[in-house]
Amino acid sequence: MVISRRHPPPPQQKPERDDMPLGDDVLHEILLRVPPLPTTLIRAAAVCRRWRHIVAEPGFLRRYRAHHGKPPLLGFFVNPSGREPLFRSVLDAPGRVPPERFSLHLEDHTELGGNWYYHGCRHGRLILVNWKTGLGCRQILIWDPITRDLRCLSPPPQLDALKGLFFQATVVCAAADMDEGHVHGDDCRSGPFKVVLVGTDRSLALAFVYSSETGEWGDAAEIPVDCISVGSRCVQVGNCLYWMIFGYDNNILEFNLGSQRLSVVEVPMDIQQEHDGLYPITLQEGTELGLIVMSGSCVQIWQWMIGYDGVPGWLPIEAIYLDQLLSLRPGECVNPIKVMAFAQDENVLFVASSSRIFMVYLDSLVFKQLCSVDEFAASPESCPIYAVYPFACFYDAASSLSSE
Amino acid sequence: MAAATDDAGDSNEMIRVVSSDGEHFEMPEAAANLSLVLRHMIEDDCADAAGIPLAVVAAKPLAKIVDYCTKHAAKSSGLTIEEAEELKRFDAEFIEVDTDMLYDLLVAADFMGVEGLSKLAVQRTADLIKGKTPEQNRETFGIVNDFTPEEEEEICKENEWAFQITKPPSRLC
Repeated sequence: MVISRRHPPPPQQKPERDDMPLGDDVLHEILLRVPPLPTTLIRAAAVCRRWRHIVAEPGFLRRYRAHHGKPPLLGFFVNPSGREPLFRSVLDAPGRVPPERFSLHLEDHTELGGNWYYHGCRHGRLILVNWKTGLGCRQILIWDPITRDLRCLSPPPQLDALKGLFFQATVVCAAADMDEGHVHGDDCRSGPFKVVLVGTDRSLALAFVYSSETGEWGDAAEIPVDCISVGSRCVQVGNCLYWMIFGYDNNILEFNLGSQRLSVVEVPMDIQQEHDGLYPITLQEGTELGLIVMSGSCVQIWQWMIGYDGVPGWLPIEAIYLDQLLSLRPGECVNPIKVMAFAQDENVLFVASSSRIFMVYLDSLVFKQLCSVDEFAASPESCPIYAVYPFACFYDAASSLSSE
Repeated sequence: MAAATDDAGDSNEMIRVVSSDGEHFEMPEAAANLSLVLRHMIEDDCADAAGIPLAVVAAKPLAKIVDYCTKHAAKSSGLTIEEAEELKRFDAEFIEVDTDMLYDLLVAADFMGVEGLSKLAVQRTADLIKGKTPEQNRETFGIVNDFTPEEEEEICKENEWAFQITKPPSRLC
């Protein structure tokens, strides 16, 4: 191996450079490291055939996603009209994916009237539920905005007897309870998923789970509760999902995906007195359950944890004064009932003032103004929005290149 | 010619290397050991007074690589926070080179098996790609556009928005 290199080399003329004098391995390593903004791989794939070929390899995209870890937060969806969700990018140009790239034409897939309730997205999948007064939940759509793959599910048959009930819905990666080595991220999109519906009839909380692997809904899980409604925000900590339940007391409903059991995490009255909004969040990089108690423009963050005495309880972690943090204009104030979303993988809170929507990175308290609250009120059937649905994903050239 | 520094590693032995265009360089053994190829040659007893010839590495990049290895070998273990930051600053300045030199460093670091330098040059190249249009990338890296006009049109049509030149962001509110 080394002997040949010991001979003096022939004199070399420096070649005229008209192409990248790099081996495919090195070029592969370079392209692997371009930042995961929506445009970078698309533009790289348009430079020349060689770059395009490398970027289009399925192995490359797998490695690219693994190298960059968490997918970037591209933007959020809103659903002001009760029909098609609208997308808004949170990135600056050139990474701004235009709204029409992530548009869903419901009429191509369903003839159902009534409202389409948007229930958020997790790990690249979005969930919409059709609900009509008197008829209840009629259809559930699982949509992948990147591949435009759409799955229609019928609700669990048990819902026929519960037509009046409104159910919250969420979609989770099925790997949560079967593969401990699995890290949730972009790869979840191509794997199996579960849909969880939760609702209450004021005496019981009910949960139904659909598995994409079996194609069926399981039996209902139940727990006696004293509440009127289930909150729309859902967070996931390990194998458990959490929602607020509202009634005379406000508590948190827990559903364990492994044991398929419901339980209640109590929220003592003293931490929720005179609140203006309660929202479940996650803390410690998504490993612990947290709670946001809004009081005016103050975000008080609590963490659910086991105390020194072995008894679990709520510990105050941090108070963020949004009116001081956000550079508000004269006359502008924080709207405490508009904590619009919590993007748990990015630890970003979406909040609104009387006129603007902001995102706040809870780790650094860096914030960014996103848009005007009136932006979605253009059409006459629009309702005021109280929630946005953050969407994180590697926007790579995969969907357009892999067919080559 | 890169000179050896006194604080480089335990061994005081100097290793001679010869560039493809016949220039001789010296560096401490600890610095040479950062190159997988040189380390194997030293272990195989191939490092002699005549110097180890590096057939594909010209004098210009080799001088830089000797610099890099000497600096990194001197600060290889037990770094204080200040030293780690100084090394980071050194790397940042070191890799501020033109595209020709960047290519030379990529090829040479790959050939010589200098892992840290390979990573540095690869990341620098990736950073240069970021934010550029395909045409700007072709210009920067001297790449010939080998798509047919039809193919190019097709590619641009697929994700038209991604190829628009960046405009200053419009005021939101």
